[in-house]
Amino acid sequence: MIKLFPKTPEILQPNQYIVFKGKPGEDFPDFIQVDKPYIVEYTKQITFARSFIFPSGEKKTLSLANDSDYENYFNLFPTMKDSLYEILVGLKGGKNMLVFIQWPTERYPFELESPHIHVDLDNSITRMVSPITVDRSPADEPRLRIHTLKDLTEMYFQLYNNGPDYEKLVFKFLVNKCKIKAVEKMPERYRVIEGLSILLR
Amino acid sequence: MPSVVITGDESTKEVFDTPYDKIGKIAFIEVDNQSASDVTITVQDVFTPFATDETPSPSEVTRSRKQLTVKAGEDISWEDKTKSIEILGTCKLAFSTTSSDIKVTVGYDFE
Repeated sequence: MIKLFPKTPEILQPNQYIVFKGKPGEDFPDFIQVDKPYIVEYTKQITFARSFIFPSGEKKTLSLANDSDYENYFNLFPTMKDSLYEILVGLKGGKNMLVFIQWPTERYPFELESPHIHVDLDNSITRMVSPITVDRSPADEPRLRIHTLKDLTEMYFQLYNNGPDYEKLVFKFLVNKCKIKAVEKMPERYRVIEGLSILLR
Repeated sequence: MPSVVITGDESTKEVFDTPYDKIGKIAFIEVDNQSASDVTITVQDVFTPFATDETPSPSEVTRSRKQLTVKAGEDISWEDKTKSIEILGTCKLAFSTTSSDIKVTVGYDFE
């Protein structure tokens, strides 16, 4: 569901197929069938932007889920069972801003296997484990892709200003809203969407 | 690229508001000081930061981004020295001396 690519990935198009991979009943909401094909029936693209000005050395964790508190929630989850949001995330502005992905709460899935290095914002070395930055996913060439579904386990962005002064970070989202439908026959070609258990493996 | 002429007849004057999803860049500043006094002009950036874990109730912040001094009777412009100035919120000019004979032209852009 979350991937960082070396270049901007292609977004899903109508009549393409996807298959959800992971633990049934755990990785995805109950209404999603794991290892079964879905066809993308329609797509619609929505652009959205958020910006944040942060003081030096300060942090905040914000949810990607939906809530009327839209200052602290990005509202990037679908509300319908047949919707899949494919989101490209590009960053602009503050070159010293670090964005960490947490999924689920307070868990950093993008870590090395070594038991000695974990994401820890209190240390200048350990805060260099997998932050997304303006250089790694620039707004004009976004490389971070996230998929969300209704009732999916909540995801978070933790923002941290690693610079000496105030910084403004702008998120540019391209939301490819896909209407999906389960089909019986497994197609020859399909795209895999991996669940949380695969990411945490 | 937009530009605006600001008259230095008050101690602080607003130049532009940076849009929510942009960062302001100063392309050039030209100061025509036909007043009887030298003037120092401070380019200010005024904004309210986002509420963080460390500062849950942030207040408005004013950051000085650049200071320029122009002697009485001089007309000076800066381009290279202003290009690195980033404005996160509202750009203002603060004048050490006020006079309607001080005119400042500011060229700016948003990225």
